[in-house]
Amino acid sequence: MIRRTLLIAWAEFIKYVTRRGFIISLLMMPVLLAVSIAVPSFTATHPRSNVMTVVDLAGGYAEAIATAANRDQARAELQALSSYAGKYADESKLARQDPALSRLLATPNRIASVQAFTTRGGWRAAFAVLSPLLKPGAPAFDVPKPALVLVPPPPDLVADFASSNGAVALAYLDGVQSVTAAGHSARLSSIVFIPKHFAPGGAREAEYWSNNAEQSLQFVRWALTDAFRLQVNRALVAPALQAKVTLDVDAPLKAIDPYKGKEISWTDKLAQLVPVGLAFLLFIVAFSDAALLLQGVVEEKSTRMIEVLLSCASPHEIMTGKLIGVVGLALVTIGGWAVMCLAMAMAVSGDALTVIGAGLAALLPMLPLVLLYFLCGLLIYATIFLGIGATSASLPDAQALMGPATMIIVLPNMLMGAIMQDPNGTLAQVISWIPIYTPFFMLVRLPFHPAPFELWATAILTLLTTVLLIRQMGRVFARHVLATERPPSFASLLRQMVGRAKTKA
Amino acid sequence: MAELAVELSGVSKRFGDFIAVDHLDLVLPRGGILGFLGPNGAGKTTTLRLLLGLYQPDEGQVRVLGGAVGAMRPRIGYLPEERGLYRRARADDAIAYIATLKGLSWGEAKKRARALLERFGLGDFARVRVEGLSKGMAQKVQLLAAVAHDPDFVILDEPFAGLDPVNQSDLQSFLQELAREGKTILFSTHTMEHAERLCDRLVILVKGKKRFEGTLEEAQKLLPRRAQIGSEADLSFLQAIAGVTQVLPPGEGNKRWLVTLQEGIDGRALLKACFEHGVVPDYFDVSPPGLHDVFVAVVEKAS
Repeated sequence: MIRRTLLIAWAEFIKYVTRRGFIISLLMMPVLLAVSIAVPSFTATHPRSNVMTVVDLAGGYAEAIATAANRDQARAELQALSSYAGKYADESKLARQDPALSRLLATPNRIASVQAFTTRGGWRAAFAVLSPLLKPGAPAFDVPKPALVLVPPPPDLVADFASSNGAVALAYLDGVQSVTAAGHSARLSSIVFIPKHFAPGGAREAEYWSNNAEQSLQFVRWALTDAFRLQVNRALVAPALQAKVTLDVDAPLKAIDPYKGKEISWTDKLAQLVPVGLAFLLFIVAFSDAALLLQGVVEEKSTRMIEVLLSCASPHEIMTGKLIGVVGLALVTIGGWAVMCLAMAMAVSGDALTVIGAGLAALLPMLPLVLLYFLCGLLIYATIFLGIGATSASLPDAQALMGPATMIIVLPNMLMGAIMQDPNGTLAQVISWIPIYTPFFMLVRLPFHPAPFELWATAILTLLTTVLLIRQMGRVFARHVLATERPPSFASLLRQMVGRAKTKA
Repeated sequence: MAELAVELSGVSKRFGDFIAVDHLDLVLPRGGILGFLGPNGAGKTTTLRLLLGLYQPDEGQVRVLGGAVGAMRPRIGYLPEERGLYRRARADDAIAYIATLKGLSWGEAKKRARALLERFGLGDFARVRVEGLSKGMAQKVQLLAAVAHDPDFVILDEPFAGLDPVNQSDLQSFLQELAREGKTILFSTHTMEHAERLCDRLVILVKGKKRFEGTLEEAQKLLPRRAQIGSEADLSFLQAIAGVTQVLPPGEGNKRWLVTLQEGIDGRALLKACFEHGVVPDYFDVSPPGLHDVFVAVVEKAS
């Protein structure tokens, strides 16, 4: 019996693994992944500069916006330099030679560091210190392109807003008229209009004019809010002290992993991401590999190959063989993707191996449960597809059943955001007990320390669901795989799955 | 070794309200070629599936080669009506796969597959995918897949369907060769010529019930013998001959005189009477009834 099951599993595996479609999907996934990482990364590091001007009829607010823009640019430069120094500079030498700069580079997100960085002369001054300490072959420092370029308001635009017209503003935004930004002629992408009497508690509203969505709207809102706060706070103190009032402070706060009693490191964050990635992989292989079972069974029914198989092996052996074959296929798919992604990552960055090693090491303690949830999840979805295939007389029939089945199966994706926000909240806890979703959500929740009871109970639930589903779907498979009539109704299918097996004569 | 290939006793199979096989009793000896005849919906395929263990009977008992079907699976070969092969499999792999499921090792199965393909003129196509073979070739490959494990009992569902006359003739020779090797072959068909030419024994099913079981000669005895005589003279005088039950003149759809004879009467008395009346027939035939006529008569009677 086992021999026949394994023979069928091997034949299924070979049948699918040698298909052109499989090879294409194997190659496509790393490419798509690379594109999906590279494109946002490129757009993040190469933002299209927003050329903005501020028509400030109230006074003082244009400077507030300029200060905020300069601070943001300084922070971006410090962060980039910190990352660059971490990779290419001899940090111990730097700590001895310029401890102050070393401290700045170690805490690039702190406002104090940004201010000190600016005071020291920005990236040029810092880079001058770093240059002699760079490792051989270090690339040139790529200075972040400013996300916002502020230009002085053209006089005709100021006059236009002062007369509440707006026609000139439109001409600038449409590119009919241009401004000079960073030495080049450019089209304005946004105009901030600060009306007269714009003040804290006042009724007048500032305006953000743009034909480029709302690229910097939030930035301007925060800059003006800071300006208001500063005004209000300064009004509360004696005039002599007003210059000392500042908002440029931040409280140091670090996230602690209560289970380790220390700060959450990047490897901890990686460990949280790996099971989430596996949960997504579960979906991808369910729809790319396990769904092949459906197509395969319908094809076997239409060519009567299923009869030949049934004349050699029992329905249970055939079904189990098919499931084992598809699990093998899924593992090869994931393995193939992993190898290709690793090769691509290593080609791009020398740190890839370290990062991936750290991710895998962080995964090790969870490995038994990760494997259980992943394999059971895959088997559950594959069994559902197999059942649909067995009960369908043709591919259109199967597609009609696939619609609702797909909707049920993809539901977890829609709830993913909510679950990630609160991985141990009520929604996460409740939905983790719905057997067909348990593997997916428990994979996602695994790094967030769900209660031990929940962990083991859902593991047992998953295992039982898998075994029961395979057993009960085996009945449906045996009963319908030779049938050529219309698929059974959902109620009849449930009755067959829940009901007792007919005694064989 | 069991003497019987098939033993069905009181076997019934229902699908909802439809009775596909109705209390069927059937005992078929081992060896030779057995034809399973019946109109569409007669229960042929269902009976074959019962013999293969693909269906469990609702009533009755099924035994094959003297044992339970499940235990005899490795000794049974099966060819379904359509191409029961994976389209993308190569011919030798397709044959070897089924043989391994029937118990052969992969190496042995592959060796036999190659040898069979050579033997039946498909050696050059061993590594061609099934989808690249002609229908006749694919049918042969499928048949080789059914017999590569050297089964004692081969079940073929409509093996001649869709084949051209040359391939039909090849298949016929192949089945006869298998029979000569001592295998029992059971095949279902609608085509009476194949059954007439090939079968040692026949079973006619109608509406799930067995209506006939026996040899071709026994089947032919189900209908009276008829003589066909070609003549422009009036042959009504033949009615007076002992053993003649009916004399029909030529009419629409029938260019000759039709003379129905009682069982055991041959045509010599008819010829003698013709000559005595000075009639020289331009056509005279007293062949036994064709299987087609027997089949139609059995089906009509059952209906």
